[in-house]
Amino acid sequence: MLELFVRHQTRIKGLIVSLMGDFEAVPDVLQETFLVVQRKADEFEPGSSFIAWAFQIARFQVMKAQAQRKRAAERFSDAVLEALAASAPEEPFDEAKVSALGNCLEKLAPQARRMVDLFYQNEHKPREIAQLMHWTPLAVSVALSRARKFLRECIEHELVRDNV
Amino acid sequence: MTDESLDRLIDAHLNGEMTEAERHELEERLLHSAADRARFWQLAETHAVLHEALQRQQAGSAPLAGILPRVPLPVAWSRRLTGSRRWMPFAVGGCVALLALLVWAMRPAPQSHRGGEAPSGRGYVAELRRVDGAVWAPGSPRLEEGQMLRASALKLVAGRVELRFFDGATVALQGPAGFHVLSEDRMLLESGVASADVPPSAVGFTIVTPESEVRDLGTRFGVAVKDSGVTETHVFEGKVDVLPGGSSGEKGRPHRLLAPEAIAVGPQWGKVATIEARPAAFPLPVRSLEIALPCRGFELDAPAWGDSNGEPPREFGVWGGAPCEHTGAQDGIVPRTGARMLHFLEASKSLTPGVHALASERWCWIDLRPYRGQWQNRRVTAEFSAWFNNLPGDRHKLTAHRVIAATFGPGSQPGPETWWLRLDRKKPGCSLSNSETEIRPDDDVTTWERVATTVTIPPDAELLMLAVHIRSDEPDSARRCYDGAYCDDPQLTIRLGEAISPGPLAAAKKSKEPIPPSKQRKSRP
Repeated sequence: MLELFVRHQTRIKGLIVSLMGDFEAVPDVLQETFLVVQRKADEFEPGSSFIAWAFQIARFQVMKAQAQRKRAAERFSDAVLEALAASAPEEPFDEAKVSALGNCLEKLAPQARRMVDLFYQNEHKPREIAQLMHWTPLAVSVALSRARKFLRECIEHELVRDNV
Repeated sequence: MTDESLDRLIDAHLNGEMTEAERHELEERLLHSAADRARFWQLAETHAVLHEALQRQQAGSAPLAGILPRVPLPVAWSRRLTGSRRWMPFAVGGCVALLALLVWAMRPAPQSHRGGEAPSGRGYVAELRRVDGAVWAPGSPRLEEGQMLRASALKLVAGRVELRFFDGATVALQGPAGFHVLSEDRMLLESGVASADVPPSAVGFTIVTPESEVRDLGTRFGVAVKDSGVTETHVFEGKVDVLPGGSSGEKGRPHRLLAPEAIAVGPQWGKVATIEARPAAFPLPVRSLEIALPCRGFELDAPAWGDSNGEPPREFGVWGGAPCEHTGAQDGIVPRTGARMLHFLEASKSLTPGVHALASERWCWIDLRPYRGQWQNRRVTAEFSAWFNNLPGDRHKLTAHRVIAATFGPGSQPGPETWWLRLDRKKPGCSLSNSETEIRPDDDVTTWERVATTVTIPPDAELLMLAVHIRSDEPDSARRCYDGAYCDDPQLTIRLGEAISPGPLAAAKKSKEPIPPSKQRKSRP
């Protein structure tokens, strides 16, 4: 079970990161998910999809973690979480994508790269980045969205090129 | 085919910046459309891959390209390793568990920007904010403005740099100086002079020297490490604790210094002498003052901007001048901020009767006197900026957009007379300082161009005049038009720079610089 979890961990973490909308609680939710997976190991039916089962557990842990958030703006409702978790792609992140991402990050404009580092590596919130860089929070959000779009397209491009 | 409004909603969620209305709209769409859910996962994948890749990089695992399957375990686990019974599953989980535990226990703890953890030297802890003529020593990284810094040792031979630590403290250093950036709230100064500007959020920021440790308690202070090994600490504002001992080990009794106090700590800790605090001996971090522009933007609730007869207004804090309107979105141009923007209509009043004016202008006067108490005997500059947009087409192509800032001395009053004297250097009442910046607009109504100009504010300045200005190069005066030009979001930032002190040292330094016009005129009665 541990082996299975470790093998799929990146995917499970990806689900949590995507559903939560911020990074702060991700490590705790991932850990809780792991503990529940361990505890309920005998409920898992061999032959069925481990990742689908783990996603359900992760989704419950996201709900639990978000129950403390009072503002509706900060969280998805349980129904939406359920619908999203059920439609999440199960295949693991393609390592080719991660490697293409490395090349694409190099192509980002310096300002955008800095923003991406501050957001994804240092896990600053857009508001904090805005303060650090003397931008407006809105400009930071827009720049982050654009950087992601650029990277998404660049990764696709790189993968197509590699296949040719 | 992408749906931009859906993408925008998903992006807002991923950025963690969402309003309740947006959340509601996104939820509705995700609940009812499988295609929208698929798009969500498409965008979220880039987000998750980015987070994963950059976290791996931060944790110092395999290089980004070509990562092999790894066994990284969640961050929180490492914090809970010691004394946690929850870890029993791992102990009995076989090889993989042991391997995982091992690999993972050996991972450096990721740098947290929130907690006050010991420096791990992995993540960014500071940003290089300003670089002025910096020469870096051989072997020291050559750093440029805007670069992020991890914990590192740096050696500056000459020039001046400014670091902004992630806890909010700003430190200015003057070469020659040797220093280490240690963490987001701590640095080591081996040699040279440095000064720190520490906002309340960053109280506790510490500069360690070979002979002492200077811990801030909300303040501005300077630290100098002399060749003799003596460490001087000067407090300009607020208070600090100086602990003799520093990086050499044992700490002495803390000395609390209140501004304007200074002490020198000798090479053998314990030897402490009181000296005179001299801000002018230190490079001071530039400090920005938050001054709300009295003449705010061009919304409908902006202070009265009524008819001033095409001339500069005679009162402070309002925009006045050429005929114009405050309008919402128009001709494909959407206000840059808020609901309204300034739309120029006609030329300003001409100075010479019978001659068409060359520009359409709006002015605003700012009374500097209430702010002068904040100048702190430092060099002061004001940056005035505004955003411009322009309609395309031949009719508008000869226009240029400009911002102007000028200061005036005692005796000057808001009004057209003062404005007319602005550049008349021969007459009393002309501007003490003046600065303008102009751009040519592009043809794209969807983009706004920012134009900024920085003017020096001499110590005796009382009035600051700001202008947004549309000029036409059309030779045929009858065909000049200004109504293709829009302006929005004017902003004023006041910055405090180096200390200006009447001391002999500062005076000697200053004489090398060209004397600004303001100083020349000062001698006039």
